[in-house]
Amino acid sequence: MSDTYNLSQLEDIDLAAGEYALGSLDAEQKAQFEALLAVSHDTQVKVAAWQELLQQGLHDFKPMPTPKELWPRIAEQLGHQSTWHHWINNLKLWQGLSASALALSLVLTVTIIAPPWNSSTSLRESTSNLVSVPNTSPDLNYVMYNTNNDPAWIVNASMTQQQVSIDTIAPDSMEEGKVCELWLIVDLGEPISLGVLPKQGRMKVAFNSRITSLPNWQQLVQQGKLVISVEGSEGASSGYNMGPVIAEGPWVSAMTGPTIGI
Amino acid sequence: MAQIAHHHEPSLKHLYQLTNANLFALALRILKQRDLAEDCLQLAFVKVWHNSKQFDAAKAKPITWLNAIVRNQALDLLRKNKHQKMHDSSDETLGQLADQGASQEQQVSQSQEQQASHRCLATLKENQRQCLQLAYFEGLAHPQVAAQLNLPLGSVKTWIRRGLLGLRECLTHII
Repeated sequence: MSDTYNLSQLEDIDLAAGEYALGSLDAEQKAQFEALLAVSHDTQVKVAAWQELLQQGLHDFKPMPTPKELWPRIAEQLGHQSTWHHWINNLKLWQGLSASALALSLVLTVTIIAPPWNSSTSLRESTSNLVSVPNTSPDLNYVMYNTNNDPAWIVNASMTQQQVSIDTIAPDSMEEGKVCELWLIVDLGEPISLGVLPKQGRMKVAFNSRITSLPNWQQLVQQGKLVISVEGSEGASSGYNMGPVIAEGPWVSAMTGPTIGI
Repeated sequence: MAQIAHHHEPSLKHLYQLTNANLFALALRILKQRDLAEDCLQLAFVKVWHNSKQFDAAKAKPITWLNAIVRNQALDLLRKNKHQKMHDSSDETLGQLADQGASQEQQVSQSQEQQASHRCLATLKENQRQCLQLAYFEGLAHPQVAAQLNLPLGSVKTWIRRGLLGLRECLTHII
């Protein structure tokens, strides 16, 4: 058995996920694995599967009834917090701080993951502000940065789920009536819209049949290029009529990660 | 979970009623002290209330997600309270807790799946089982497990990996 986990190998990711769910990784190993976990849907699913397995295998105890007064204590605390949360949710400052904290964590995530892939060359394409690394994995990512060089959106494509998840971090504010639209270009065909990028929250988009009906579609997607254009509020009428392109680049493999010394 | 995400309190109460005995047992297994386990469950359900939008049914079952929240909360409390010498892992304490549970939980039966799982734990070698339990229930990483068992670090790493694989193989065949 090797003393390290190579996070570019599926088998090692699987076992590292098991150790992560178990809690046996030390702080450094845990941070490295979490860098992968933050951007890889497939790895998140693996961890959840291990969590379930460990619960089935290690929970060797019988259910224990709780005291009757416990639920009223919980309900009372929720009641107090509801008032507090109502007030605090009205503060735009709070939302700004949350976005900043999340952006910071994702900057760290990308920073931690990036060096082993491409340490000799710049990760960011000078014109498009993208992380750009060749890959051959089934779980892909794409980070678009805002003008402050913080992540604006993180796009994750899961080939096993056949869907794309887009997490909004800190996009630049757009001119009134304008939106950013994400496109996938495969095999030099008409760009395929993956939708208008959200202003907040997470958006999930299934790969449409135009993509999945292509022979070797997963490979084509991996080799494809992502483009972000600025459009009117309705989005572009077709891939051939997209507006000005503000960013473009290839996917980043979520699995071409670092080696964890175990 | 969707209703809880919209802050529908009766749904949270229903979830609590369905799961509290199992989750309390988990908290008690880690903390080994009833008042701390109660605090743990209270904190965990408040987290569920505020974070239920993060639950993703495509990734995990609700009970898996709940167990993870309670376990993480219990391990946090365990670390915070270690200096108070509360963590008495003697067989006597565990025995007392088990007895209390057995007398009170007549209405709660364990599933066949759970019993089968326990057989899987028993199939592991003693050192593998011990390493897995120390990591899972006490939140110990490889070096701490090695120190606690006074064993070489490399052996602990190997046993943990083999234990994980063995557990999965057994459960895959049983469930």
